[in-house]
Amino acid sequence: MRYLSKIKIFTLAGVGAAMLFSGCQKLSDFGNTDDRTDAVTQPVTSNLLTNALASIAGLQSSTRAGIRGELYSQQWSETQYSDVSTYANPQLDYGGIYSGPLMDLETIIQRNEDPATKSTVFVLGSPGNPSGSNANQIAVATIAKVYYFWNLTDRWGDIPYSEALQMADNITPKYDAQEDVYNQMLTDLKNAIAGFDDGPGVSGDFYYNGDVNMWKKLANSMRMLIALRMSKVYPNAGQLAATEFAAAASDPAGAIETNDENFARAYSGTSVAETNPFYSALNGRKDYALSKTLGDILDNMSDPRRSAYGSGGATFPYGLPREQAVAYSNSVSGAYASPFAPAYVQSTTTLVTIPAAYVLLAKAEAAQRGWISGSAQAYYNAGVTASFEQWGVSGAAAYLAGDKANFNTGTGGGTQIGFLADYAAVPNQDAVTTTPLQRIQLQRYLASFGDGLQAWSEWRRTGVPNLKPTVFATNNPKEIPRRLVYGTSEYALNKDNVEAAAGLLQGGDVMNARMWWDQ
Amino acid sequence: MRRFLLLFTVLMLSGVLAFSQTRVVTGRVVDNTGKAVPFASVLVQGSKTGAQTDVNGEYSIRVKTGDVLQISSTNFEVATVNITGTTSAITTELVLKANTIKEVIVTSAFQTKRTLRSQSSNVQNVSSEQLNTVRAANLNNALAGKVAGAQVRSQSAVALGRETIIRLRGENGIGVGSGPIYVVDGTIVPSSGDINPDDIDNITVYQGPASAALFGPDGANGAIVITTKTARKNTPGVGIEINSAITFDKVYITPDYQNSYSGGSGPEMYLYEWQPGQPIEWQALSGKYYHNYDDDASWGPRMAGQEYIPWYAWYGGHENSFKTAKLVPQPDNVKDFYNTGITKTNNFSFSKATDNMNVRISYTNLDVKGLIPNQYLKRNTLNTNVSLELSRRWTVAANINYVNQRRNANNDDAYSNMSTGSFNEWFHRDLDTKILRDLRNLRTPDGVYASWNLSNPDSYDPDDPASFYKANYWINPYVWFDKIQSFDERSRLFGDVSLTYKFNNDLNLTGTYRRQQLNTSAYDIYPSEIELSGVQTGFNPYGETTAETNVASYKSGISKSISQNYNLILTYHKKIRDFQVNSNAGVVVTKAHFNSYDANTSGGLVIPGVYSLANSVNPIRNNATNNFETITNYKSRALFIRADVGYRNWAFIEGTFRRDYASAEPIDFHIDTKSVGASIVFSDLIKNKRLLNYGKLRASWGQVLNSLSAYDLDIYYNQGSPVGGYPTMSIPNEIPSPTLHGAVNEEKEIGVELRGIKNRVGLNVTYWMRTNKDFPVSVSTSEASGITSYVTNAGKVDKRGIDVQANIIPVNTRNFVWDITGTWAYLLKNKVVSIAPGITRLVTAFGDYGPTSSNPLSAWTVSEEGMEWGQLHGTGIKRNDAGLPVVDADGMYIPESDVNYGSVLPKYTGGVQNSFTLFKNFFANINIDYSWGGKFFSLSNYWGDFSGLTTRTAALNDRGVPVRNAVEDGGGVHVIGVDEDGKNVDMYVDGYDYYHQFYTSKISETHVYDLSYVKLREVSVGYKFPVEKMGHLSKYITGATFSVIGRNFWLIYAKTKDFDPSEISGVQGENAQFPGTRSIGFNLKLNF
Repeated sequence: MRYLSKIKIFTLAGVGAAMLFSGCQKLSDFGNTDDRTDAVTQPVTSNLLTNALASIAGLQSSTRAGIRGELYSQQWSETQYSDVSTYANPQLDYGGIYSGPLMDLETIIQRNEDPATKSTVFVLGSPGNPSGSNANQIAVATIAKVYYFWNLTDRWGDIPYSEALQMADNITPKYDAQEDVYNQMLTDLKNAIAGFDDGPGVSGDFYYNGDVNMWKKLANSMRMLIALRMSKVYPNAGQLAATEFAAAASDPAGAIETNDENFARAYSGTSVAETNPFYSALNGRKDYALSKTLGDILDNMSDPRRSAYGSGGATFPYGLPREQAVAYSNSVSGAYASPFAPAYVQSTTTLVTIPAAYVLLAKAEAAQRGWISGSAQAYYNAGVTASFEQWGVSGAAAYLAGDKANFNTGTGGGTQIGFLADYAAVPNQDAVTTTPLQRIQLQRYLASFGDGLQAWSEWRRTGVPNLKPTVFATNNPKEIPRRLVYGTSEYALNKDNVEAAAGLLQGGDVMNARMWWDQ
Repeated sequence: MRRFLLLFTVLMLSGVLAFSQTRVVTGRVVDNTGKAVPFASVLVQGSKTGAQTDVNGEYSIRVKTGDVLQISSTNFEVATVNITGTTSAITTELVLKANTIKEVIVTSAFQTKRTLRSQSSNVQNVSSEQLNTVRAANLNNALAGKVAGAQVRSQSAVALGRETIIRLRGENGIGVGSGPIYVVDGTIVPSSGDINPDDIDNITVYQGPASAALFGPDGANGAIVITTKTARKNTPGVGIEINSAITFDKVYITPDYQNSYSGGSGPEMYLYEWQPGQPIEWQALSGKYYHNYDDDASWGPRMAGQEYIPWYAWYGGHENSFKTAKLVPQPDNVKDFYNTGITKTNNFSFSKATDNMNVRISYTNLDVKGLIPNQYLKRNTLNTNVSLELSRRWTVAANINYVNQRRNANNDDAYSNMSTGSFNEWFHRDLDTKILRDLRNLRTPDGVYASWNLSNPDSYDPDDPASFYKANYWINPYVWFDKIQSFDERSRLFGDVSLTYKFNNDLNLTGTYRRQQLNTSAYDIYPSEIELSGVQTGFNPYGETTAETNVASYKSGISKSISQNYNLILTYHKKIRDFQVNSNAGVVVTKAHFNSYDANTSGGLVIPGVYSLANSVNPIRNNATNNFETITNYKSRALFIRADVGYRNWAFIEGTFRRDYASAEPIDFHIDTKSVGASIVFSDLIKNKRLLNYGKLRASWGQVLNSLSAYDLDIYYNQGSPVGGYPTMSIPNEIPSPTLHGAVNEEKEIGVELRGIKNRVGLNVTYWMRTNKDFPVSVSTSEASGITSYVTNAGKVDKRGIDVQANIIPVNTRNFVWDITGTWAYLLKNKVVSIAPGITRLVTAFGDYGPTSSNPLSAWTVSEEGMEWGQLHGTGIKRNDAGLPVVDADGMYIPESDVNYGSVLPKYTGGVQNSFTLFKNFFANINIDYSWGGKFFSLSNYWGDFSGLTTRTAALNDRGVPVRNAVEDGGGVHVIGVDEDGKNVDMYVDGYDYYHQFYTSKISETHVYDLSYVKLREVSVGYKFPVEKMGHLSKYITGATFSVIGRNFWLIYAKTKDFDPSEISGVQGENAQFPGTRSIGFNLKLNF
């Protein structure tokens, strides 16, 4: 009997084990153990849109790329560690622009186009607050996408565009020629404008609150600015830049021409995400000052915007190496002018990304070049006035009538100016204007304060003002950088494609190689 | 598989057919120390009735009165037992044959026990004595050099309680792999820091798939199996042991600092002239000179004993206010900053064993005073091991460990941290540490703490005196460590309760419940006083913006993790004629749950000095994960079977099969683990044992599939903070492939074990080959793809290596024994065969580079197809074919991007343990460990050169003139190279410019060093009091040992002595690593 029970046990154990091994499916069924309850598995497109738009402000204010423009355009100076303004190699990665906002925007477009999801994205906003019609979501996302790509290409030149944002389907996207990127951006903007429908506007848009008309105006403004940027390649009326510009300028939807239409973002100051990014970057630090280059131009022209662009105190010579910078700082007891007067860099200060002044001055240049009809002078005066109004300073009429900024006779910001005798002895800029075109371009440079990439890009395009590199330049040749160098991560992760792009640059992937529109 | 199963069933059933004659007696066979002798043969003389002892040395046999049992086992003298009419339970003590070595029993998963003899792979055993030569608070450090193939990457003693890392047979995986699991009495314990070395009886190291198959997916990278101490029978005395140690740690290894130039940005001294509006007391300083205070580098004036105004002179309120001093070198200012660390370890243990029960209770208190002011670690550990034999059939056992650790330790040794990040990277070499210490409480009327890095006097503004006194970048380090709090507490409970039913002597069934849980709580305070005292100190790591890094913050979090495990294990062993069969089969069910809450304040504190989340200016957040809360659930089920069959105890085959199902895997997916092996103890076939006492050949193969972690297959969208009143959400930067599974690890090894010349020479050589493939690799992608990485199965790494253990007893006399054990592991190959389609290179590790994220990386490791794992890369110096550097017109090096500096993995690692016994009572141990080959990048020296802190920047050039002197005065660094046209260049470059170029041009080549070292890691010299000769005292004290111990005693050899190469904290190198320390102490052990 005892043995019987033993045999039973072994048999049972054996049969049990055999059963378990022979594929009792229950063993692999763990119910909902692996279902997360604390995370979102289906995206809400309006939330993606808010997130994507939130990074726009960073393009012009982050120390990574935005502030480089401020420095290369000599609008700001570094006061402590001056490697950017002495032209240390600007080898920079894309810094999350593709994987962050661009991928968010691409997802919005895909989910609104995909038959499997296009009906749900419409509903998925909170009740009574749909994410916007499919068409409007696609159009807004497309315009925002172009804005990001425009920033990327103006920094690096050729960039991944047509093969970008395919996630795991293509982890090594090829680089598109900047010329193709420019053409595609213009096409995308035109398609976006045409694509809007009468359905609900997008939600989650803190720029224009889903106002379709305003997005169309933004798209037209971008078309003009992008077209104008091609002026070196297509300088003449009848060429691509001129026709694209004219088409945008005459689009019935209009463009941003008054400051209340500015593509601008207000801040409540209640959290980091709700704080003016220049405030976040500058408050409590003393890395940057208003450059003497810009300060002298403004002073020479008695430009009242000087009171907005910097705090009181001496402006800071541009491009001093650390030792001289520290000595200079000591010589003024550390009381140099910081960028923005305090009233213009509060946590709640509105950040303007595309103001009316850009569009009006672009029209002035286009008219002057004969690309569009109309009075260049009238556009010029309106642009300068709009810029004054944007910065809350008065006296535009007197300024435009005076001997420095007058459209027909203004002499500009003078040739100075040099550093202080102790720090260097050569002039570093020439802001003399002799033609109306130069006057328009100088005003565009001055109006670009607060968006360094625009100031740097416009300088690259026009050569106005005639900036000279710092005599302490460490690069070779000692010239002002014309582009950013592709990041190390692209060389590590997308080697063949980035090398192909680098191979197309005159002189290779260096900061002084000129991109397509800068030839 | 089915065939194997059938065989197993047949083997099991055949055991049942054994039948008996008269009555059953049970017995136990032990050696002279009371330890079980397993697999001893028990035979009734003159009959065929026989039995075999199990791993616990127990057997039962049918006998009749008058029988004589003959008990024999390899290496022991044969013993006989007469069965009388009353015999029922017998304990037999066997005597070891002269010059033989006891059979070692090793423990594997689920507490299964085996003889080392029957193992078909290289399983290494470290006894408690070998482990605790020198009392160590850290298990991994104690293993260094003692296990062939284990590379221990220690951490400086300054980094209180930081986890050390162990690599078995090189790094596992294609990126930076995970290490082995730690298994304590059958329970997996995730952190080696929670295992108390004082409670360890022995450690068995299973290196990988071939040996660790029974652990299933968890054991893919090897297993370190720990058996804690239990009470033993026949131990003299009442069973109390007290073991106390105190050790003192002093800073030993620091970078080579220069001691010629003081702080500042240039060599000039500035004349101070008092100005109206400045503090009246400053008039005393008018006409005197000062150096630049607000620059935090040491490119300042030469220190020649000249009069100058020291930083503290500007602050009132102390005895040196408004007084000048002499500018003299302070060569030891960094070492003087650190305390003598004091570690007190006290262990009390109580144990008792009787025939049917044993109990051991142990309590350990560890109390460490850190080397950095105000840092401490206190750990209390309780360990209980109980086993009760309720009846002949039922045994119940429990094993419970509880560890509580409280610690205040700001363990940051990343770039520009407040200790080494300052001392090695940004500091003034003229600072007198005693004055920094004395003035740690000095505050201005505005509440600003005095700092050496204040502003220069001409920037004094009478309307805002505070901004002059505030620290520009650096708070006085004493103020920092006085005020900052980084506290954490962890309580871990682990252990098991088991019930065993013995069907008969051959078969038993054990049910075990295991539980392992960890509760942590932690808070960090970056206090308001520091916010007041700095300008751009950037002290708050939870700042999202630059401005926010300068405001106070509070962070707090708790976490709870529980892992529960149910095992049901059937154990069978039987001797059938010449064959012995040992087998286990079982079921394992695991449930794990984790959750945590963690948040920090944002934008500063509303009310200064109140540290609570509710006191946050902006809404609280979590900087690390963006989630306040994390919840993870995981379940798995596994079935396994293993068996080994021995023939006459000299030929063995073994096999293991385990199948796991887990909630994180796709449904219907299972994970199989397999191993097979064979071994032959050929020496048993040789009659003449004069030369060879023991010889064994073995071969094994194993394959393990890793498991996925919970939610590895999910895609989810991150919710961010609202913007403009709208909620935000973003696409993840990393997505998994839907077909993702764990990596496949396969290992083959062959080995030979030899012992000879009366066991005085031993050698164990293993050649192993491992293939790891199909890793769930996070493949970094071009960011332009819209994701930064995706997780897919890809890649293959081929590894080969040799592990050697050798033992020699050169001297073995009555009064002097010298025993040497050596380990040597040679990594022949660790080749990345492939990574993923279209990807030939992965960046695997990098450290901090610089103050802003806009700087590219300095040095990083890559896995590159066709190359050895872990190649260190960075921007190097462009060279011509002759190796001469290419320089520009100023003599500055032209950078060459992406230069390969070599592997970060050492070629060989190992150690030598010497133990000496003199007159039986004096003993000494000298343990050396070494590693050869491998590179690391030093961020400390990179910045130390930039900031003029290192000796190089203050050296004399080949003209005998300081490199800092002007080139026209004979100074400068001699640069020999070629220009870009290939013409020779031979010139001198200004020292400041020369040492600044590496940062500006991102050249890391000059700061890459060799990892090779030879280190005298452990020394102990002791005396075992002959208590048995101490008359009356011996009644109470049964043992007393006193020893003097030293750890990290001497870095005998290293190519750079600026850092301890055995303690490099990152894979790619060090960031601002804590200094190496040396510890000396005493240990007293008493037994009652």
